[in-house]
Amino acid sequence: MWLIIPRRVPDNLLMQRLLFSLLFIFLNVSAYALDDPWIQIEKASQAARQLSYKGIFVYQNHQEMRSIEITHLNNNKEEFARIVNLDGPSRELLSRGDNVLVFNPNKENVLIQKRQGQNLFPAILPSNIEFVKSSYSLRFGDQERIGGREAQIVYLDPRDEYRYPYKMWLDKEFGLLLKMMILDHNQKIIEQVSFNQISFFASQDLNWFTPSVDTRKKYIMDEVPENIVSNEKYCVISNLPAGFREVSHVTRMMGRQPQLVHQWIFSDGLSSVSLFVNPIPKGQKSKVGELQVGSAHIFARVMNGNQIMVVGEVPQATIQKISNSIQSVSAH
Amino acid sequence: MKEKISTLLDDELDLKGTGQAVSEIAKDQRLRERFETYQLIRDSMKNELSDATFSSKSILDAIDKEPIQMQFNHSSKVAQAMVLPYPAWMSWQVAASFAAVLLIAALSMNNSYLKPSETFEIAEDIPVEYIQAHQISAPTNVAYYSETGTR
Amino acid sequence: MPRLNNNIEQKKLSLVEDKSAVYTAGHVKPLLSVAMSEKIENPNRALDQVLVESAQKGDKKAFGLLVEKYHRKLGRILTRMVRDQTEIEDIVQETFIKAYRALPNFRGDSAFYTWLYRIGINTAKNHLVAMGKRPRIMTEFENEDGDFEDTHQVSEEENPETTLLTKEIGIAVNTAIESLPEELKVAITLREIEGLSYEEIAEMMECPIGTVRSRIFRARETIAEKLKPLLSQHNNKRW
Repeated sequence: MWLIIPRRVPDNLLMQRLLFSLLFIFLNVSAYALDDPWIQIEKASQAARQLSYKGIFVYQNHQEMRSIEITHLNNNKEEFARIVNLDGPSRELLSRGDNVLVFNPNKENVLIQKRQGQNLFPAILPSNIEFVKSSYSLRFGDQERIGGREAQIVYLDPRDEYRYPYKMWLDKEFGLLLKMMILDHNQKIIEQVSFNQISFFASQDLNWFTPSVDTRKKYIMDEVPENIVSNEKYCVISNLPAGFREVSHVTRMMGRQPQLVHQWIFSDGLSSVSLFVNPIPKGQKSKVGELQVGSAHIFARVMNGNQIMVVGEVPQATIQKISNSIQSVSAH
Repeated sequence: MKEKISTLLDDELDLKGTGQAVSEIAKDQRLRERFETYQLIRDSMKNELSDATFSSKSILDAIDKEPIQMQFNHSSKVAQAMVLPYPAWMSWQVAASFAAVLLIAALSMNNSYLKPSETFEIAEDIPVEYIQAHQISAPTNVAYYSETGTR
Repeated sequence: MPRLNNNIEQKKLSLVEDKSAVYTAGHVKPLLSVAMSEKIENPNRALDQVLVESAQKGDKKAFGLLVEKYHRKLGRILTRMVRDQTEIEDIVQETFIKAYRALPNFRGDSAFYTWLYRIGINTAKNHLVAMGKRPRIMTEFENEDGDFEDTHQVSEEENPETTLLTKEIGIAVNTAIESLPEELKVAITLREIEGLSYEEIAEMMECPIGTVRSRIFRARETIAEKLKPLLSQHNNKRW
């Protein structure tokens, strides 16, 4: 029986759907930016999951640019998506509800990997925006055309120094997130994702929901052990930066000589940070220091024979604070 | 809707209607029972009833246990490799990791953390697997689409 | 077997005998005969096609509907090869499993049922060979290529054994049909026994297609109602 509760689908789905349809009616009647402007964000969050659309968007950070084609369908029962890398290696991802299958070709083979569902553009907004409200304030900007559609600019300004500002372009008609920018504290663009073209459709046809298959290559399932949700109180974590809360805690096997690593993920609704803690095996060197790789900040230190590593698309100060939030970790 | 099932069984719906009706049946057990009953009536009228084949339950149970069969555009060799062993109806039970790759970009170093030789500066030896693990599992991550060189 | 309204039976026979006949009076247009022959060759292609394609995408429930449609028909055919009733159930099940596994290879060049039938025949053959028995009437089956819409071939001695309950259902269905209002009875009979399309039935009964659709539906609903108590009794027995 299908008993898995999909993470991406809001709890209380019916209420959410009703809310969405009510919002849709409401917003078509009322003027923009009256009453509660957060409704726009709510609508954007819903739109990415509820609607069926197909388009091409471009992801950029200051090092590179990548075009991605996405097809997303919701037939009122399940969400289906196909995401194809258009530049570089022809990687593609097929998802159905919370189940994800990734096809990763190399020269001879295609590696098939299973994966837990993840919120990917344009579905990057959480279903519970209360979470986001406490950390960001909202204001409206102008209107611009994105991918051939009229869009309303919305700014999410951080309430403190622990997160970056977001600038979003929301489709005027359907609310879908069409473009998004993450800026640093100097207003420099860290990351940007934007649709070049997009169309909405109502058909329930799923003919597109199939990977493109290369018959010359061998297809291999990648046997990777699953992450295990952990309840173990491995270490004491307190004094997290405001707005960040734990969204998951798993253990996973990592590294060239695989060892068990605890991973916590903290999020303020928009950005997320991973904290890794593992005992340092004898004879292995520990890692320390501070680094920025692409849009991610990384911080590493050692505590009581344990390796601590923090990674996230947030200011370095946040990374530090999260690293410092580990009060104690027993010598393991 | 019930009348649609009757029309469906006679294959008198257009292609679109047929597709829709089939999806409806998948969602609604009662519609499915209707379909079964109408088929039973048909089989009875055509004298095709027999005790051995009265109930389809054991066949359906057996199919349930089969791995999901999916057809792709090309050879069955590929389809074979694609068989995912999972017993439930209409589901892909999947969970794992995806090797996202990150392009190595701007660096910054903090000398106060220099330690004797038992430690690495991460600027020298970028902890790619941690970065990848973060990108795979973080719930909202735009950086999913970026790539690293292979190590 | 419900007796056909004589009028219609006569017309049907005429059509079968003389496909090019022109009918000056009455309910049947000459084109109907051509339509009928096409119908017998390619029945149920759209529904099966949709179900197969859906199943090929991983939809097991769609395949389940194909099972519902054909498992008894297949059983009846295979009974002529394999006399032992206890084996029929296994062979039919094995056939569907094989069909399901081979589904990615099915290209839709032939009708699904034809393809299924061939798998069934082979499965039955192998089964008999494995049991050290010689399959009976093999040549008859080797040559059979097309659809088995052989409604006219039903004969009493070919009836497989049934339990009392299964017989009861057969009787209940017949009785229910007999007691249907005339227009419903004619409609359902033309559909199920004669295999006519809605359009053909509309021609014969001189009414709109919508009426045909509705009559067939109401006939089925009425019969289904009468079957309810029997079916629930059957469910109690089985499970």
